[in-house]
Amino acid sequence: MEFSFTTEQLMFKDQVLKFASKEIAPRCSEHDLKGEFDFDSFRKLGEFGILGLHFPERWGGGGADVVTTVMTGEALGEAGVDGGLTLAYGAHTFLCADTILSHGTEEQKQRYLPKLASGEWIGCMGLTEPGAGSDVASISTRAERKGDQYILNGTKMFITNGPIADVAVVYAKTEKDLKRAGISAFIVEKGTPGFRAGKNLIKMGVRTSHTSELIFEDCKIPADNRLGQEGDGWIMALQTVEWDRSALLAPFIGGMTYVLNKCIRYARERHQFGRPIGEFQAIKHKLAEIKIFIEAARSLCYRIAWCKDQGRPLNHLEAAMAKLFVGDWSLAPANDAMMLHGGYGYCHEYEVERYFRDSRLAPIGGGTSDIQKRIIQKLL
Amino acid sequence: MNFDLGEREKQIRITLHKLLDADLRDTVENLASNEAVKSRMAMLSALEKIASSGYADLVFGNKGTRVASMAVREELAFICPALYLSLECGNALLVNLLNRYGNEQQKHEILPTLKSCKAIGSVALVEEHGNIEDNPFQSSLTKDGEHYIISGKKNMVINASMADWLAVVAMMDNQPALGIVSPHAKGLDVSSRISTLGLEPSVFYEVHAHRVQVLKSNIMGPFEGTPFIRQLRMWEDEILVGASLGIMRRAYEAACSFAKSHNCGGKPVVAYQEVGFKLAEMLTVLHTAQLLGYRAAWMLDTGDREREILVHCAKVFCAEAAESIASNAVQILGGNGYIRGNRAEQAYRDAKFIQLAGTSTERSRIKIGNRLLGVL
Repeated sequence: MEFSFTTEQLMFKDQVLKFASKEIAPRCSEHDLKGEFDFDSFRKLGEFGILGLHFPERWGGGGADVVTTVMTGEALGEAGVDGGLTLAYGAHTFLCADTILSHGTEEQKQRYLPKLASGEWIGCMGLTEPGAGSDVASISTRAERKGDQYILNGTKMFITNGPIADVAVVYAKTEKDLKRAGISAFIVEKGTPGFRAGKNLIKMGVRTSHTSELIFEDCKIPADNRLGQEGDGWIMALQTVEWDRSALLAPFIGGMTYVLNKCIRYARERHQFGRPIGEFQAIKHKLAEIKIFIEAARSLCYRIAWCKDQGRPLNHLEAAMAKLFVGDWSLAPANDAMMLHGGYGYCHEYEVERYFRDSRLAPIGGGTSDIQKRIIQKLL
Repeated sequence: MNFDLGEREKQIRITLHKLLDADLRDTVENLASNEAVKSRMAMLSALEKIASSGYADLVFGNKGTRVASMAVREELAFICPALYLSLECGNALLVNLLNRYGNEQQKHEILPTLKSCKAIGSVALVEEHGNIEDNPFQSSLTKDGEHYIISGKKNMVINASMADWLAVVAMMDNQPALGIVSPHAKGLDVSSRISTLGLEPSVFYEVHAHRVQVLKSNIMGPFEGTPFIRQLRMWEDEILVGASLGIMRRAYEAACSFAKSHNCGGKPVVAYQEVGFKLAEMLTVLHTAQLLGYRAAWMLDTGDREREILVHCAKVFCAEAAESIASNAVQILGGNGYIRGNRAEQAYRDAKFIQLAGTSTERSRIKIGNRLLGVL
């Protein structure tokens, strides 16, 4: 057992950190305040090679391993990139594009991956529904085969990038009486008749990512837009879990490092009772709590990434534990960071309140903490 | 990067069980004996088995990585926390001291028997005030002709009555030094076993040194105080992380086993979310603690400048996780958990020691904060 990164991995992380600190992070606060998606920053992520980092080079990617990809997410958070943009990146790259990469035909890959890798197109994934969140097998969106077309009907809910996406990977039932085995996946492009996104939902945090319903009303798509075979959808959705529990969690952990650095600076500069507040034991304890969380959480995510690099099947127990830990255990240190800043911590300018709001999604999105406990309970 | 345990440490873990599990109850009973000879024989017998598993070679013989050592340490602490602490805070700590600071004669005469577990070691460190970092040692080591003289009182000395070698930390010329003596040396009083909250059978003793003579060849030091104490604490904390991993696993496995076998309302209690979810949280914390503990051990080998802060992080997280998991385990066992003698309640009592021993969790947090703020 050993925990080292390669020199190349560390060098690339450093490059991402410098790039994101200079080009992306300074813009986040303003966009968060307005609740706007930052299209320019998203394209810059594409230009830098981040959006398709793990794709093969022939599809516009960088051919990176999973550990490097997870490190990149951590570096974005560490640079101060807000949780909204990193979430948009995660939904785009791992939930949408990677599904096409893993299960698409050559034609599908040729059509979508280069544009998704560059950021020319934005992707999303439609799985959750108003009546089916954690109980994915009970989705009711239907895809009926009619000749060389499928006709989609139904509504998807809480879809990250929904209002701004050019292409969506959508899960629907091709056999309505079957549960998991009846789910299939399809690619639906923006502008397809019968397909529209709802209005952007106003959220507590991750405000720069746009979230909406996806509505399908007799939406006709070519049969060639099906990903894999009918009934493969459940497995495809499950495979996104590996990314969800590693690459999508990594920005939260990196973000905590960003917040810790802000806390350290504040603890040194803020004086009360004639001395820097960092001299008080209670402040040191808060700094320690944040640091302990970061160090405890990191290996959980990298273990999943490393296993994926080894070609091992997903260990559902380890994946659920990573999600549960990062989700539930990040709340207290995020609160500590805000409390350390006192009244300033409650104000937008100091950014810790943004992290506090953004991190609140961690125990909710991608399967709530209770669902993770349910998975673990079943595997005991 | 590699998250798999090596084959060697996996094999040692299995062998430890094969050698110790069968007569563990007898070993523990004999260790608890008030007859020093009997408890010493039980300890030596256990040490012989531990050594034959390959544990001693790996942990004391520098024939493996620190992370491999952590993996087998966890297993021994899982089997018997008191036996583990006795071996590690006695032999391992003294082996580390001799390796780092010992002279050739000490390395030749004392080290081999300790490393091969044919002798029992003990280190007398803590004094009445407990905090050895901010308060100088009251015990003294002074020159007296050709010899040295130790005087002072030491608390919570592990293995003192059964040890072959007792290393006493004391002040020499305003700096800490060590004098190695026999527990039977003239002027040395070793108390009877101290009754403790947990870690049964207790292996803690008080030691009073009344002008105990030490051979010049058995002196180590004096050392520059801060680095010496810091190094000593780092070794202790590494050992205590291993203890906490073993203790939390004992508690978790007791709770999980009970929850699967104990029925309520016609089904095992693990099927109820109020129990199953609690176990899910416990297992999550256990895995997180293992990874953090192993990574801290790995970093000690790398020489990375972050290693000290990571060991403190691991000490705090693992020590507190052990108590929290043990507390939940007692809760899951219900009334059964409150009855003396089950693994959950034992772990609950054992875990407390880990938080206050070595660098206490409070002091560890202060040290982490200081390092982050750039205060040395």
